[in-house]
Amino acid sequence: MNSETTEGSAPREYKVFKKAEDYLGVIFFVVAYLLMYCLIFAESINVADPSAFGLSKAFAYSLFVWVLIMLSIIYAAARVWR
Amino acid sequence: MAEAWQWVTAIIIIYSLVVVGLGYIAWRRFQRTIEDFFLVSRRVGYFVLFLTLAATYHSAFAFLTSVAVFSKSGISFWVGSALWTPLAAVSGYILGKRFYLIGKKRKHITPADLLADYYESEALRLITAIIMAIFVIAYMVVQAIGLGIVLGVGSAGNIPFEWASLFFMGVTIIYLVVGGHRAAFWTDALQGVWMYIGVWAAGLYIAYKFFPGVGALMDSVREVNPKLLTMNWGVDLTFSFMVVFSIGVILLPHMWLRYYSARGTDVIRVSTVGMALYVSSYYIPAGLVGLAAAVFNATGLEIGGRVLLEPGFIDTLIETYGSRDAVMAHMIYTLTPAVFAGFLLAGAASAAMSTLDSLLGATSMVLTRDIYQRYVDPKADENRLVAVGRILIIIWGLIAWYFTVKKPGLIFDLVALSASGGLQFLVPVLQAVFPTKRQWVTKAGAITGLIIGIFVNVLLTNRFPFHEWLGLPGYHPAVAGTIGLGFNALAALIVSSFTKPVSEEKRKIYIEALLEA
Repeated sequence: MNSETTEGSAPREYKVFKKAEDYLGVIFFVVAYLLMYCLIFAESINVADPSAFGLSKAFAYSLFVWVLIMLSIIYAAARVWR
Repeated sequence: MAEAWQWVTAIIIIYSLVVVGLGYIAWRRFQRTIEDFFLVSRRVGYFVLFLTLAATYHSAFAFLTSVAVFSKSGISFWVGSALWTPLAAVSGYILGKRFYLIGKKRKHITPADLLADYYESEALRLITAIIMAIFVIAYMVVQAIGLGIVLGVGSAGNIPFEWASLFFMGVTIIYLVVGGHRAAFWTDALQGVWMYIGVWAAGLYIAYKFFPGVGALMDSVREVNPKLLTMNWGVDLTFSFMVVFSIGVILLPHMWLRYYSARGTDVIRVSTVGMALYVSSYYIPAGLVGLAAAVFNATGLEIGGRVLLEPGFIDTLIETYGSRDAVMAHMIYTLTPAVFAGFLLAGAASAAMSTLDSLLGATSMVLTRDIYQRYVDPKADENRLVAVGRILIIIWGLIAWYFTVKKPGLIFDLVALSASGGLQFLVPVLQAVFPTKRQWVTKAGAITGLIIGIFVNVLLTNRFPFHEWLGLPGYHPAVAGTIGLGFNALAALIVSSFTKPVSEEKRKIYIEALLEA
């Protein structure tokens, strides 16, 4: 890419976020993380009682949020980081 | 008829010879330049980069200590790793892509190249090289401990821990000295596949062979200690682990240089997704083995009148190996058929070797490039630099082995200690790879922050006695590292507010490099 700016145009500046999808990718990722943090420490969720597949409620919940985190990364890789 | 330990040991040793063979093949493609020796001529593609990132990130930490921590803290490790492993992949993409773009344009080979170049400071180069070379030793020791445990347990104690560790250290040094980092990348690809299959095979085998399935295993844990099925770490500890094991590890030289060596940004993007899925899902089967170990530690295991595991067997392992890190290897050796155990333990060895080779190679690179070439022999030719790099690999390997025989404790804590040092580079790195118009960090700010961050980190770490001398509380290395990062950022911002920023010309060069994506 040509590093020189043409006469009269503004010099290029570095922007951390360049397009709307950048924000969406970040929001998706942060929400998934907050979900893990906010709820795993909740007394009603952080219990050993059986839930899906015999896993404890805490384990099953963390697996579910982990899937969300993975989906957010796949989304970011497919749409945001192109 | 050979005994079980002989089968296991033979398979592990044969595996090691295969790895050395790969090193030899890599040597035949070696182009005798420092860039080829350390960065594989910046031509690493999708498959190898994904597996070398995953295998290097996952080490004895993943195969051995994860199971040990699961057996003590239960699913807390899973919740924590579900937070730090995806973040490691994502921060690897965000930072790694920028390392690649800038490194390619500016011909960077080491982490210090980037910082010294952006901040125009040779002092920063020296500080970076020294901090990285020292903190990385703890990470090397981790791998050497893991290798000693694998062969020590696999040989039923016939090969003592110290000699087992030295044997593997020797194998790793040989293929690295011979084949350079190309050998490390290739063997990482092999080892990445091997250890992933190994941990899933071990987890599912133990869950279905000794319990009717995963649900039954959970019920057994619930009867023995229901707390193991809940999150037991506090928010502060969890947050610190998340920061240190993700960003801190990525900023250590062995991970950093992998991004330099990529063929393009798309390779890094695809590898990031692969790494996130690989390193996260790895801990599911590791958790099954760890929870099974917790059950058997309480109840013991007897089959057909033969006692396979005594109640309290973990305490015996702690007495022998200095920590509970041998739980995984002991479970595999005791509970699976000999040939199967041999392959699985070779997988464990591969996990440790794939990181040890990277650590040795990266440290040798840092010392050769940033200290030897700059301060000892600036006129050294490429052949001379490669020779020095090889000698440093041997020296650093032996230093790591020296500390290994002292059995310094749980691998989990040692990795946190090492990564807490890497974490301190976050502040100067962020400004360099995000060259925003407002410059938050200057050269003076970067150096001050780094020194204060490392000082606070070491001072507050409970692995060292310094905090006691001053009557301060001691913290887990991960927490101390996170506190250190806070002081680091604060000091950097304050000092930067009244000192000279990086030249506008240099900032523009970095912007242009980044906009070439």
